Amino acid sequence: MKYLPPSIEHLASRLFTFERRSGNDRSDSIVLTRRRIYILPTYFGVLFSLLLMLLLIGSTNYNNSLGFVLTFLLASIGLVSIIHTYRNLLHLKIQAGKAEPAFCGAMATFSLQLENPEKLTRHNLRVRFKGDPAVANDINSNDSCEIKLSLPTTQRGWRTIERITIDTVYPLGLFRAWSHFTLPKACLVFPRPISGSPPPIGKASGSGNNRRQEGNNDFIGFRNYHPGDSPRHINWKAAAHSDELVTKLFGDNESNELWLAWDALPGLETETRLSQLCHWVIDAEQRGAQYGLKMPHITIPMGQGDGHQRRCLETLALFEKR
Amino acid sequence: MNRSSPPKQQTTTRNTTMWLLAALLLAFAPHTLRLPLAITTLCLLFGLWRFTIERRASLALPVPLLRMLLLAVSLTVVYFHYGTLLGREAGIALLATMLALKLLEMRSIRDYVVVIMLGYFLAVTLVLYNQTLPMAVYMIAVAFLLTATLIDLNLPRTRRQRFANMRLTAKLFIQAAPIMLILFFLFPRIPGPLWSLPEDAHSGTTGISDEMSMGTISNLSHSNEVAFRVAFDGDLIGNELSYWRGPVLWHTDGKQWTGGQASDRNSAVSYRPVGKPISYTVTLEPHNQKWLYALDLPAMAPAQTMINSNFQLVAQSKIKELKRYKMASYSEYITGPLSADETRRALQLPVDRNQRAVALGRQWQQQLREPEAIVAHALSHFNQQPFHYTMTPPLLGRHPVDEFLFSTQQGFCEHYAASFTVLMRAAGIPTRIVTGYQGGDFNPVGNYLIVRQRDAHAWAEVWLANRGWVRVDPTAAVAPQRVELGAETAFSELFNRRSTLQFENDFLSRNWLKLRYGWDSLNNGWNQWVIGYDSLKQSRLLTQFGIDSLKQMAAVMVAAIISLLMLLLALSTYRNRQQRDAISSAYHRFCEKLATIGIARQPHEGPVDFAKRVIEQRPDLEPQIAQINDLYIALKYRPRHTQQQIRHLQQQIRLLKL
Repeated sequence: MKYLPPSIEHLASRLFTFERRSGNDRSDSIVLTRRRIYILPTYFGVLFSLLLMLLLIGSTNYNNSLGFVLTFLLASIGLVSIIHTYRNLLHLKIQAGKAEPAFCGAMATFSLQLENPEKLTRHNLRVRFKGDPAVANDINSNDSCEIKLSLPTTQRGWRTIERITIDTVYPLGLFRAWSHFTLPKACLVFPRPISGSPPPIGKASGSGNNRRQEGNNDFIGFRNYHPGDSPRHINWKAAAHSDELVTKLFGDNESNELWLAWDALPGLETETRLSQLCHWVIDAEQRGAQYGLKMPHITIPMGQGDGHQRRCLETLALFEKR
Repeated sequence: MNRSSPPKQQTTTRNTTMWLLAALLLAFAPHTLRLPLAITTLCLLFGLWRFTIERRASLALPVPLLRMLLLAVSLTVVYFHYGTLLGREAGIALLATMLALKLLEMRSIRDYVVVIMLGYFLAVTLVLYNQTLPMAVYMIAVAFLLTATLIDLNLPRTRRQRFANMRLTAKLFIQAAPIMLILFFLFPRIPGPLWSLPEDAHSGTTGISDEMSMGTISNLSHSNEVAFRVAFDGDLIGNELSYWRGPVLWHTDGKQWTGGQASDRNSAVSYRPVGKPISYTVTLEPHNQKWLYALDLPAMAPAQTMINSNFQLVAQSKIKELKRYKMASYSEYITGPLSADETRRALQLPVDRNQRAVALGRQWQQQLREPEAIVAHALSHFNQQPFHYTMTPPLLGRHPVDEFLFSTQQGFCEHYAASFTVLMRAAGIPTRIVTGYQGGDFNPVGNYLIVRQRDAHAWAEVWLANRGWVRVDPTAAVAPQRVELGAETAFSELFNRRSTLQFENDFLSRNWLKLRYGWDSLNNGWNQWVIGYDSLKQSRLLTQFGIDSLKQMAAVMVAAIISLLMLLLALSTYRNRQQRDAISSAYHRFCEKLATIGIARQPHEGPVDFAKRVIEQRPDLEPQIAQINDLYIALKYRPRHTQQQIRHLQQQIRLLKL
């Protein structure tokens, strides 16, 4: 679908700055009130009005009353469709949902909850944040719809959503109603994992010992499941027969304690260092090792599991060099 | 809860194309009657091609080279038939073929929208030929289907509801209707035409031609187009005298009437005028014919025209631009003798056609002998037999005069004129048909007479030994109002005339007649208020409401439309206000209560997850929370519940102590 050039939209936004910028913008949800919705014809709307002009001139020229009837009927339908398009957005409630973290370079996902508090069913709503829109087809009365926006990431840290656009051309495609809004949600972007130098091994806190531990992947036995154990290590075959979950143990736990340290990577750029550490964290977690993270400003003690990994990655993502 | 569909290119489905093809076929169908066979075939072929492509996934749209070839072929065919690509007829043919061709490259939404817009255009060309009420309904049906297609393009693909687009279109049309009425009556009308119309603008039904068959003039009765305007030097003449003379028809094959070979050389005006001439100025609209109109009978010929032996004004070339000429006419006259050739032509009748009518004429001749008596008898025959004057006469077959005289008995002026002429010729009286216009509307503002296409008329002239050609209007015998008051008011007057109903005794035919008169009066209202609504009528109507300038008109129109739209929005908002049911509002209170102790329900959290989280944080509340949650889920998701259960839920929530 084609719209008017962005410059016109921009002009319209500037002309009608009813939007109250303070207040609402900090809250987790937004209701599309009258003042938030703009409406303008689409390219097709312009084409349609040209058609109407032609019909009007033709009808006048031939003095044809039925020509006028059709011209005015089409014009009225166009006018009425404005109300329908506008109404399709009006009073819609938008709530910020979960923001899944992502590794830098991958797509981050935000979810939005579109809530329809009225009897009117909403159709063909499109939500976009740079790039392809996500489409919400029908939202029935009192129902809601989850929209997932994916956006590319280029930098680690908090990725905020500046301006999301919701729009609709329903029902005729002649007019487009839209609204811009921001939500105070941000998505955490972890550093991009790079496997540069090999990971540190054993109990050594530094990088001096480069000998690879042979027994890492050797199965050594079972123990009862603790929350935080990687699902990869759960003995699913056994789980099928009993209610208890059992975790498989690999390698030598004692020699599998790793300290992943900032200082172990001297001479590299900050981002490269973080990327390297990030890779180590993922790697250690995959191998089922016990690992800790030593950063200049904080030390995360030994641990294992998704929560632990998450904490380490968050630390890396939000690291700021003083 | 709905899930959003993955972002993807919105594509049209087969369904939309089918809707579109159906709408276009409907828009095209009436044109097939007028378009050359080759063009009709070409259009239908392209449409069928697209239809087949939609039905079979294996077929693809034609390659660009082939499409170029088809375009060249289409243009050639249109040009071959019309000798031009411009003008009304050729324009419609061109529009139809281009539209059909576009179907073969229609892929993106943009293509579909363009085709729909062109479809609307095709729909409006329908009413260039026919402005009757049924055609209006038909045109709106076409617009309805096209709009439904446009909506189908914008409806989510997931909709399972059948005919969802039709329902929405109906809603839009109903809501649009009042706005359309406002626009129709208040939109400032400019008197057209804005520029000189293309050459063929007046072809077809938009004027009197030099041929007549039953139905040609009644077709004109729906047209509100101006034929000419007349300013009189002296007083206005009475309606009963305003017969505007056009082509005179001599020859008939039983169905069609034509001029035959009029001997233009014998152009001496051979009549003796009685009384004073009437002088006036005519402004003739271009009608693409050679003749000019003048009152019976013209006294002089303007420059570059002459009066032929039929007392008809004929110009040297076709009238293609507005023509203004001064004229004088004598309303009373005595014409000269009839030549042998003229007598033969004025008595000509085809063999083996309309034999019952011919027999009746001969019978009258034997009974009455005197020509004057025969004419008078024929007129009283039309007057006393149950003949009806109608704008929508039934179609007639091979013996139209017989069928009209003895079975249908419903006709417009040409039916009466033709039948009368056949009867008179059979009775041995030289008779011919004169076509032209009768009456007109007086415009008090401009002080002139407007003669419109709907005033088109046909009457007869009989040749009587001592008086020469005498005008006889058989229509006046059936519907005197037509002649006295003009075509516009004739039908409403006729409807009120009880006398014509008296001879209908049995109940059924009386009601049938009422229905027919009802239909006629409906058509009359239609003609007056829809077809006849022009700038003049508009200013007359609106002055009554105190609106007398274009500015006021526009202001009232805009205000009315805006208030209607606002009303629509307000109604929609009012009607869609969600009233939370008791169960939801009780649960809402529960959530609000928990939010006060810092446990707010997240939008993505279902009731079960939420309850779990609450219990996790406040294990002390477990029994109450679990109970409320179970109760809520039971009430919300099970179809049957009692008021008592709802009250129980409300009470539990009220009693929840945090």
